[in-house]
Order: sequence, then C-alpha cells, then structure tokens
Amino acid sequence: MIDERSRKKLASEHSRRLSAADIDGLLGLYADEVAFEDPVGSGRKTGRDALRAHFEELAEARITEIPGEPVAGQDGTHVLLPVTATMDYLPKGPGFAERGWLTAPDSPKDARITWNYVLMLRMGAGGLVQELRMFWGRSDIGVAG
Amino acid sequence: MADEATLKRMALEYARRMNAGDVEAVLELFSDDIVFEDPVGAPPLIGKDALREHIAWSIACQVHETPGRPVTSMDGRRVVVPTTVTVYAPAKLTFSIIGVIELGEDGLVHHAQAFWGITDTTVGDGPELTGVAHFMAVTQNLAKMVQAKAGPRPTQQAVSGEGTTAQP
Repeated sequence: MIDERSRKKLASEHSRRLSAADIDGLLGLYADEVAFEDPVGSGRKTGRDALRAHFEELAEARITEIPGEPVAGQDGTHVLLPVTATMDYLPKGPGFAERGWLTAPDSPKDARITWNYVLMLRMGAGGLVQELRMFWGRSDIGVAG
Repeated sequence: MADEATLKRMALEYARRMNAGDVEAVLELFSDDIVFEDPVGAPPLIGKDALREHIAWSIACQVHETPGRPVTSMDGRRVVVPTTVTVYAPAKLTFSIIGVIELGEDGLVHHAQAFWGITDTTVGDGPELTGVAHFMAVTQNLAKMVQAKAGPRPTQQAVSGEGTTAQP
C-alpha cells in the first residue's frame, strides 16, 4: 500500500522527468518487472528495455507534458493523471499515420503532435511503478503545422 | 466496437442522466452483468439490482456530476473521463474522480471504475482542511452518507469538520 500523496507525487515526477528528457531518472521510478501499453488497445509490452526505447523516442520528439490534477485509487496502488502534451511529429508520427491514428502533415519536419491522454500508473509494494497505461484514441490526437 | 464519438457521448450521457435524477434512465446504460467499482479499492457492485440501489442512493444524496474532457482507447471499448462529483446531502462533499468505463459489443457499459481517494475529496465550502483534520472530516462525512443509505431520505445538514482548525 502506497499512500495517496506519495502516488500523486510520483505521477507529477513522472511527468516532469519525461518533459525534461531525463530517461534514466524516469526509469528509476519503475520496477524491474514492468508492463506498459501506449495507447491502451495497441498491445501490451513488457520489460525495461522496451520501455526505455519508448521513452527515448518521446524524448527525441521533445515531448512536453502539461499535467492536470492527479487522482488516487483507494486500492493503495493506482494513480491517474490527465495530460495535455505536444511533441515533434518526428520520429513517432509516421508510425501513427501508418496505423491510421492521424493524418500525415505536408511538412513533417516542422509539424507538432498535440494530444490528450490519461496516464494510469500501478505501483507495487516497493513504491515503484509496475504498470503504465495511456488512454487515448484517434479523436484525442492531432497535428499542427 | 463503438466509434470514439459514441464512447465519449456515453460518458457525458451518464452524467446527464445522473443529474436529471432518473434512476431507470441511468440503469438503461448498463448491462445486466455490470461490475461497478466506486471507489476502486472497495468491493465491486455486481449486477443491476446492486447498481440500482447505489444509483438511487447517489441521487437521494442530490448528486451532481460535471464531466471534463473524455479520452478513449484504441480498442473502441473504453472511455476515461475526469469528473467533478458533488453530493449535497446529507452534507456537501465534492469528489475529483476519474471514471474508466468499458463498453461491450452491445453498446452497454459492462465495467465501470471510479477512481477517487480521500485526498480527492473536499468537505463543504469551508476553509481547505489538510492532514489529519481533512482525513477525519472526509471519513466522518462519508460515514454520514453511508448511515443515510439505511435511513430515510437524506436532508442537508451542517458539514462535519467545518470550522475545524486546519493542521499545518
């Protein structure tokens, strides 16, 4: 059981470290056995190496998260955070476009992705994150520029 | 599989029907085998009869829901919506929740989760309480709500904890 305030602090710290491209710091919040799904419905992945690769792509795209108010479950494990984010279209955008998640822009190099998602973190007994799930659909993502 | 606009409408429609105070209209959105967790961490309610009692109780507590911006998932099944929920009886409590709703192929809600913690709950309109004073005020008022469930229709009362000295 991790208390509510500690879980909320962790969610805020998660957002801060991702926006700061502090990938080692971000992975420091995670347990060794980790699972993640971004977005929910696209398939669950496991392992720190896969998670590192995922975060490195987001950092390469200069992701900036604007976190909303976190909410805690009364199960001692969950914290949820609504997020508005922007990042460069490259390198992840073409993969999104291929899957039909967004429309490719005329000028990919200059374009930014804007999207809204809800981050769900499940923490284990040691206070580390065991599972990350990000909820967003096609109607929650767009391209500007 | 529902399209994303349908999923998002479902979240807003639930709030609209709750605010209208029509128990049966709310229940029409759910499947017979609904699993309803409110809050997540308490034992889930299973089935429409259990849910009917919960919804009727919420409406008797003069619930009002203000949904924020919903988001969905890539499987066409889930909608997630941050919502401000206020109950006015037996005492005013405001909950900052995030709801996760899962629809089946029939377009009905089969699983609903309301995430909210003690730290997401505000008591009355008084000064913001912190620490132990906040925890005590929230739990006392939640206990009042539960007591009101067994008794006659709740009426608005003074809020426990108002005027309590806030902890530093």
